[in-house]
Amino acid sequence: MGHSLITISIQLPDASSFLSSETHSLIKAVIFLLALMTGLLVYILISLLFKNRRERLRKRLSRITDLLIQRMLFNEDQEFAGNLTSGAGRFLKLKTFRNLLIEELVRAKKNFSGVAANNLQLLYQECDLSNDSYQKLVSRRWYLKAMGIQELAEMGQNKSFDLIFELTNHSNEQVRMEAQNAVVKFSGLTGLNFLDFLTYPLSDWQQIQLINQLGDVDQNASDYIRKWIGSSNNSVVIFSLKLAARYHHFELHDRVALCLTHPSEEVRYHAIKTLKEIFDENTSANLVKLYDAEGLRNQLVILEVLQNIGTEKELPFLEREFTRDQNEIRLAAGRAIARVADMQYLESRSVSTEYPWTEIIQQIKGELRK
Amino acid sequence: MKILIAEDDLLMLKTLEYRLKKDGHEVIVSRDGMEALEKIEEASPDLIITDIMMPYSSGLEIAGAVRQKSSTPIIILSGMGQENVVLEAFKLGVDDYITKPFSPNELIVRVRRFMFANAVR
Repeated sequence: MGHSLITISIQLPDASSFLSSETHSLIKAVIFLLALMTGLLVYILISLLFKNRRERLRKRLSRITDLLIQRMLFNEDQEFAGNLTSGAGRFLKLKTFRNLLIEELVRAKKNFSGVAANNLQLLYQECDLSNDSYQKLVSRRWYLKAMGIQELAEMGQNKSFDLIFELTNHSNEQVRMEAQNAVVKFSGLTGLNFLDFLTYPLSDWQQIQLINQLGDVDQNASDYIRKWIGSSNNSVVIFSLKLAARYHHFELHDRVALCLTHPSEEVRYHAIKTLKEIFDENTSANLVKLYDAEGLRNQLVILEVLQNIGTEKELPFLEREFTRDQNEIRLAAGRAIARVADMQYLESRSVSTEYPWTEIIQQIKGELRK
Repeated sequence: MKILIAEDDLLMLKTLEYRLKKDGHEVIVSRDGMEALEKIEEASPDLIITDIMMPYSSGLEIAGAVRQKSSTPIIILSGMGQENVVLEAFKLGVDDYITKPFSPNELIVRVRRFMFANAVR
């Protein structure tokens, strides 16, 4: 008993010390958490305050840029831009304002043409904003570089052509695309000279962008295209074939026909499609000769081209294909026969009056009616 | 002339509003297709200038809805220059189609042409 009392008297202080240390830790933790939460709250409040201030400032500056642009758009006085710029002088010292003005000017320039577009360009120059765009162009960050190129190109800053031209084979795709679009925007077909040394592939999307940017046909275009058709970069060859087709360069027929034996199936595919636009009296026969050596995709495109350029000489070949096992080949050959001869002729060549022949005939009849 | 502009790009909207007002027109603005249809119903404008790509209802939907009820002239002002879109717009009965980038001065001349036709009517 005495022993147990002693034990208790010894144990009690231990337990109380344990509890107090636990409580102490708990209090410490709570205080720490409270401090953390307060700190976080203060941080959030300060951030919100700054964000609100930034947004208010941005809105205010945005109103000023809108006003500047609107007034400039319809101005007919050449000195007006100078007066307007000196009026906005104190704002022009703010980087935020300058960036906002460039952003709005570039956006507006895409929507306007004629005098209005020239006026926007004049405002850009009067505010000396090309320096800001140039700083972005020489930045190491790819997105700033791309932005700088776009701004300089949109605002017609031809003096930066050489610097931008050097970026047309840049390792970053976005920078490369912006630079390629810019040089074509600056100088049309001659801007495409980057194709001479382009080592990266030209994506389908980029090819469409460049073609859209090119606009009217250049009389000397065939010399350039002839050179690019011989490129070791297959995407450049394909792009050149598309150009030859789009601008109907009949003088390039023989050069394009050489691509029918190109090692790349994709290049051959585009060469076949191009020949549809620049064919001569031997094109159909040449396509028929190559037909059996091609895969299904290229065979189908040959049949599609023969719909437009085929003659009665190709009818025996088309009839042979019309009786092949694959329905897609039958359909494509049938379409070509219906166009080269007529529907009646096609029906007379139908193997039977059962599936799939009736369906094929009905489909082609329907297409011809449209 | 009372002109309604439907355009979601604020700068473009304000610019057109400013220029048309300067030319002496009464201008009603809307920033989306639904608002435009409501305002057309309320205000019966003499001319409608509309973008195609807008929230809620497109410019082509506006043209279709207007043509069912009236012959108010409609000018489409759009960045979409594809042949099929232009043909679709004319099929719906629009009177003119201007592709962006466009010259505001050219737009004003075209508006004056409609104003003249309106006065003759």
